[in-house]
Order: sequence, then structure tokens, then C-alpha cells
Amino acid sequence: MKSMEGRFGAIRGCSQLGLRKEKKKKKVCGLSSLPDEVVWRCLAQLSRLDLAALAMTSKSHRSLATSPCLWDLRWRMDGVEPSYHMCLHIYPEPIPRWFILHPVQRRLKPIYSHSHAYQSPESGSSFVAVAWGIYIIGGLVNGKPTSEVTLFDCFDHKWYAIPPMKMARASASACRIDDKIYVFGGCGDDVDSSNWAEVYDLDTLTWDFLCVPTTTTTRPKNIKQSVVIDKKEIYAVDEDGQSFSFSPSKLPHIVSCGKTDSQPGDRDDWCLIGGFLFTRGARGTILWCLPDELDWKEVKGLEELQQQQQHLVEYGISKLSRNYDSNIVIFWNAQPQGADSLELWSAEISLRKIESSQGREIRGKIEWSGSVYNLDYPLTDSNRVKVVYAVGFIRGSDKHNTHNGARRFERRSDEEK
Amino acid sequence: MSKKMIVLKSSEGVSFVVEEAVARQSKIISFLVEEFPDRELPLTNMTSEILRKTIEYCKKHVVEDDGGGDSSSSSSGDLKEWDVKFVAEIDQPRLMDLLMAANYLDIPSLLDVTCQKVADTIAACNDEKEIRATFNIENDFTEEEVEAIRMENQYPI
Repeated sequence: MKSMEGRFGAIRGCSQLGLRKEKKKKKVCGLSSLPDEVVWRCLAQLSRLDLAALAMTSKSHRSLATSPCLWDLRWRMDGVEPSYHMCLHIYPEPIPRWFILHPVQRRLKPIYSHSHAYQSPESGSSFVAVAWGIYIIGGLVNGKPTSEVTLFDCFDHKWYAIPPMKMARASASACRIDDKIYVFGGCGDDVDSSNWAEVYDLDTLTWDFLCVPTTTTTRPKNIKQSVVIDKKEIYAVDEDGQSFSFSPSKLPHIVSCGKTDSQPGDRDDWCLIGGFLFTRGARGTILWCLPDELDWKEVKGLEELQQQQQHLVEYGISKLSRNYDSNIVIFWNAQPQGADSLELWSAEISLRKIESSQGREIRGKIEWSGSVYNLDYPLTDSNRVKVVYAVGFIRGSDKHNTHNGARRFERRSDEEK
Repeated sequence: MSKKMIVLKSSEGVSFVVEEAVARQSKIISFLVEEFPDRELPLTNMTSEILRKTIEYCKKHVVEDDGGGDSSSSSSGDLKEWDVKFVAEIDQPRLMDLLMAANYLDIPSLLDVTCQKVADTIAACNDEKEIRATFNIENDFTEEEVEAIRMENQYPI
């Protein structure tokens, strides 16, 4: 790269520079030997984290990786960029914080908020991922349910205020279908069929109550789990393990599926991969089932991990989620360095379906496992790490949808000024 | 009907006889052929090895007009697979040379696959040290500078 050579080589004198360049051309094949436009073309496809790593290799590469021309090109190319965002509650801190998992280094990096005006609820928020953002809906603020809704932009790492819900809700169940977010329950004792559910329209930016008559005599109690199937049907299980479905495009009715969860438990992370539901079981196991059967079976092939990781078995999986590769990502607390340190460990597991004469089996293969975050204090009842939410994103062509509407709101920090 | 051939000459003076349709995938050659028909085209900044590689790529990707409309010599799925293999077999220094050749001769599809390969190679590295080793980059930062960048990178990544 001529301009950079010139800049850094100026003090060495021209003749020396010429010699050096000759020598470099033979020996060095760093990116600096390429024309800038070509380098940018290569770098335009990298994730921001990889770019950050490249920017640390040398001065010339740093100026290449941070060039406004490159960022302009990346914007125009609208490249696809995978990422993995997590919300952790590190007790005894009062509120949860956001992190991003480096795809290559596999370490959690904190996301610092530019705005101190945004205060995350303590707990009980519902999360809905939309294109390149996460809606943080309701939750507990100072111990009371809130109606506030915030959009966290995973690209800009900024928080945007969204119109509040009509009801204050905590531990509600929220799902998105097309351009609408459906929120069920979480509003305590003031509940009837007119206010139990509400819906947010991503186009009109308005909340409306959704009257949901049920075909059964009782409305679902607190919904423990919900997933969207085929992008059109919400499938949910309440705290009694009863299953329900709701498809807004057909009938605005909650329909009881008549199935009971074979292993209802205090799990708050179902995920749907390839038509199968996955959840965490006891002692480091992962369970799977078909949504309409709710008959959980264990994912095989994880025995080695369970044998190696005694803490995984002892403390259990603290969070199960999926990433952009349709792999399962699990997290657990561990103390490999002894009782004085606490680490968050993670494993990425790819899945394989095996049909045999004995029936169907799902096997997992450990793609990666290791520590992703260290804390400097011991694990006690009051000191622990809770993974509140984890989501894998791939920033693609629909990125602009995220900003639909959200941009119309001032950033919270500006608002408060 | 015999196909029209042109001659490309490498920096070592080795001549390569190529079908014009193959060579015309390079926008530069396409231009030169029109400006200077029936002349040998000297490519003084390309070694025989890289020129041979480039021609190999162009031969695979040529779209032949056989009178009955355009038809590629391979299906797009096969081509993609072939491209992956093509760049996988090239070592790091030669990849850089091929990237330069694709840029110089203006062959967009070859530039795309070679750029992608460079991006994939960077992404496969665990940290900046591995990137340095892979691409032969000399670290010219002081420790203080590295620390400063690390701090900056944390905010927001």
C-alpha cells in the first residue's frame, strides 16, 4: 500500500524506502502490499470483531481497518454479519448488563452504554429479537412491574425508547409474528380477557389490547414458555404444563392443544431448531421433543462433556439458546480455578437427527467448549451469574427493518439532556 | 468456425495462446484486444505462474456463445465448488499475487473469490498474533499503544 509506506517510511529516506519495498515484496505478503481498494474489498466482509483484531496487528493495518472508506463500503455492501448478544445478571449487581460473544476469541465483551439514562429493569423483562435489534418488554423496576419498552440496537449498541404498553407487565410472554409483537400475561391480579394480551404493531408503532377468547373454559395461567412455529403460530405452555396454540392469521383464539408437558419444570428457555423443541434438563442434559407431543427425550452424545465438566452436572445448564448456525449454545457456572473464582462456561453443540429401527434419536456434537467470562469473586448464594437472555443474530438484508420506527424516537440520552 | 486466439506474454516472456472469449473476461484485455487487434499483449507485472492460474480460472468461467444462446461450460453449483477448490489450493503469497492479477486485469468474479478467501483466512485466526503470523505482518505498535487500542475496542466493540 503506497500511501502508508510513504507515511511511515518518510523518515527513512527515499532510497532506503525503495530498497525496503523491494525486500518487502519478496518476503512480506501482508495486506499492505495490496492496493487500498482491494484490501477494503476483502475487509468489507469481515465481522467487526475480526476487524478489531486486524486493527491491532500493525499501524498500517490499523489505518486500513478504521478507514471511513471501508466503513462506507461495508454499509453499501450490506454485508451479512453474525453476532451473539447476551444479557447477564451478575449478582450482587443491581441490574443486568449486556455483552457480546466474540465469535473467534469466544470471550464475552461488555457493551458499555453511551447513555446512562437507560436503566435496565432488575428482572422479569421479556425479550423479542427483531432483525438486528432486541425489544426489552416490561419487567420489574424497583420491585414494581413496568409498562416500558426499549429497543436495543445490536448494531449501534444503542437503546431506543419505544411507546409503553397499555399495561405494566413483568414475566410476560412475548413473541413476534410478521410485523407484530404479541405479549401475553404478566400483569398480575388486574387481569381479564380484555387486557391479558396486547399487541404492538411495528409499522404503526402502537400498542392495542388483544381480546383473546379461549376455546377452553380457562385462560392459560402464567405462560412459562412460548415459541413461534412456522412464523405463523405461537405455541405456549403454561405453568401447569398445559399447552396452547395461537395463530393470529387464522382465528384470534387461544386453542388448547390438550397436551401436557411431560417434564414441566422451572425452565425459561425453549428453543426451536429444525422443527424440534429443545430445552435444558437436569444435571447438564439437553432435552428435545416435537412441539405437538411434548414428550421430552434426552439429546445423546453429550456424555463426554458431562464427564469432563463436573460443574455442568452439579450446577446444571444456566441457559440454552441457539446461534445463527442453528447450533445449540449452552452456558453454565464453573469454578475450575477453585472456590475463589467464578467462570461462565459455554459449549456450542451441533445436532444430528438419526432415524433407526429403535426410533428417532437426536445426537449432539460438541463443536467448542470453554470459559467465556471470569469473575473475581467466589460463587455463593448471593454471588452468581444468571444468563437472562442470549440470542444469535445474523445481520443481513433485512437490517433496515430493525430501524423502522425506532429511528423516529430520540435516543433516550438525548431526551434526558 | 475456428475460434479467435490471442497471445498473452508473462513477465518472463513466456507466451500463452488463449481463446479470445476466455481472455475477454478481463475487462482490460477486452479493451486492449479492441484497441490493438492481432497483437501480442505483454503483461509485464504478471509471472508465468500467476498468468497460468488466471487463465485456468478464466477457462473454467468462460460463457460460450454457441449460437443457441449463452451457455456456461459448467452449472453454477459446480462452478462454486470448483472456485472453492481453486482458492483452497493456493498458498498465501500466491493468493496475494492472484488477487493483484484479478485487480489489475479487472476480472470481477476472480477478485470476488480471492477477496473472500482473504476474509475467510483472517476470520479463521484466533487473535491479532495469529493474523500477524499468517500474513507476515510486523508489529510496529508499542505496548502502550496496544493497551490504548484494547481499551478503545471495549467501547463499544
